[in-house]
Amino acid sequence: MNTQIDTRELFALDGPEYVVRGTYHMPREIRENVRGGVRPQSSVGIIILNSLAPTRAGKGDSSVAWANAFANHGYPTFRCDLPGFGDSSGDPPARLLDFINNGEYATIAADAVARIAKHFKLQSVILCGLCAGAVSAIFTAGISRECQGLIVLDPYFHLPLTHKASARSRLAKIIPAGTLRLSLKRFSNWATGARRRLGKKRFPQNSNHSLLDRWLGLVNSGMPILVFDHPPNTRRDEEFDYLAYFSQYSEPRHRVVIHSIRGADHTFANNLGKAAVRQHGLEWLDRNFGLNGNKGAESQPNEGDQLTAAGIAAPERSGARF
Amino acid sequence: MLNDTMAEIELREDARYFAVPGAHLYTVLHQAKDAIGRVLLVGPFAAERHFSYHPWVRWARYLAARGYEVLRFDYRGIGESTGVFQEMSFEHWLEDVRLLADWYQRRSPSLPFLIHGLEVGALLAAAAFRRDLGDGLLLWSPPPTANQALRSALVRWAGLEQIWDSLDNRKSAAEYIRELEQGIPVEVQGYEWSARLWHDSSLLDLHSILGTELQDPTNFGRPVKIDKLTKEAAPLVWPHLMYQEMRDLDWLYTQTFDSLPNLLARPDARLA
Repeated sequence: MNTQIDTRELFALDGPEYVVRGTYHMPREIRENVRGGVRPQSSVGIIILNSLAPTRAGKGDSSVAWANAFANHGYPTFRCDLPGFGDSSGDPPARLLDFINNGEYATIAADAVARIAKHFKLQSVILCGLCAGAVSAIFTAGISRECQGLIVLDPYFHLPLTHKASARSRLAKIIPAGTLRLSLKRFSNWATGARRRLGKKRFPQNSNHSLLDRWLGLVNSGMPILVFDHPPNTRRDEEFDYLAYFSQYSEPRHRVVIHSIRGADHTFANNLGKAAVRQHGLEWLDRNFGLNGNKGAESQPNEGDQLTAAGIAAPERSGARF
Repeated sequence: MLNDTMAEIELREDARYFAVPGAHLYTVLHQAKDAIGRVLLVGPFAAERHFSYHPWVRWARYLAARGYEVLRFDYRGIGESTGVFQEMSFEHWLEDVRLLADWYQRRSPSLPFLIHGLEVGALLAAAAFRRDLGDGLLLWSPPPTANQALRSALVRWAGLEQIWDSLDNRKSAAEYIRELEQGIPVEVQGYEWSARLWHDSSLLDLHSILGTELQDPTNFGRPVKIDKLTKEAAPLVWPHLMYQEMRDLDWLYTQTFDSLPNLLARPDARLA
């Protein structure tokens, strides 16, 4: 039994209160050089955080598929279980959603990012997360020195609704169910949507303002950010579309790219979703973080450039625990 | 032992790869101080792994903290193990269980060795046990056949799929089943089920595996215990039910743990 095979290596980050476990997918060049006795390492790594309940493999093993693809393309890729999930230590916090939405995983994830970057000699890291994992990735990116880019899949920027009876619902109680109530509901939804579209630039009351502050800070800093969204078939007019809002008020210095993948599900775990993230992810990575250390290069590096990477160093390989 | 801190317990978890033909299995060994027995956990199928992972890991930790060394793993082509899922079928996963059980049995032969399977994993555990591996067998909610488990998963998934998919793309579970029976692969919860997998699932049958011993498990000469878990044990079973809630299943762990001495120390248990 081994902690390392041809393409992957298991690792554990021992902390004072927790153990974070993960899998390292070696880039192709490293795998080839391992056999020759030399172990180079490109300078940009990708760290995929687990989402709400799944393990670091992701639903339908989607994170494994993306990590394989990124590593095969040359990017060292790491998948981590945050404490309380998968094989990492402990149980999730009692109020898990609040914990995530308040960004309380950020310090743990930032520590993991720093330690992975140091151990594997990465100059910079791109954080990747889905849904709740995206929320943790955004919070982490704001405090991580190493994080230079974000890939977020179906992030959410709202907090759970605290239900307060609206004028509409109070009215609904006195209007009997039927055509009149339905018409009023439709009008109300349309009016809410129209107010959002035409009215002042403001977020709904249940927005996660601390997350939005962190997000806008990253966007305004010019950090390259790739967003995957899937157009829901059932989005109601009154729901606030944060991504549409961000697109509408985008500025030239912003480097946010949004791909809306029709046919993908929320987890992007179906074939279409997996393929879309792989394809657009690799294009975006090469455009922004070419393997020759050409961070920020807008032109696509050619394959030869990537494989003769300049930002290459030989990391210490002292075992799977650090 | 029970006073150990969580960190100390976690540190005794050893994740490694185990080579099988054409792939590497991801394994985690939960070590126990002064172990009194060993348990091989044979987990549920593909998408169910995703939902039941946390309570399954907690069960392994519960046992390890109480003196049972535990080995758990991912099947070929699933989770952290390597291999291509759509190229796999039950014969590969049965081979995974047999190879691991054989390795584990030989590792410290003086300790009693229990094979414990959950749902489809229970069928594979039973099949390995039938081939003379293990001193005791514990099955949680084995389906009558693997096909029945796949069928239930497909029906659940197809129902959920209707919510998200557009009207044009909607298909009933019956249509997906028809496609599988016509040899067309179907993607379920991110896993591509091959027609071969569907066909082979009918062959993995609890009654054929355990035969007449199913009526009277003492006929095996080694202890066998079969527990049908209720939805109170979700998400270990009924996987879509409340999988995002961290439910306390200590009642199940305690109840099962209390039965282990009988399962492994009965006179007919084969103590090497």
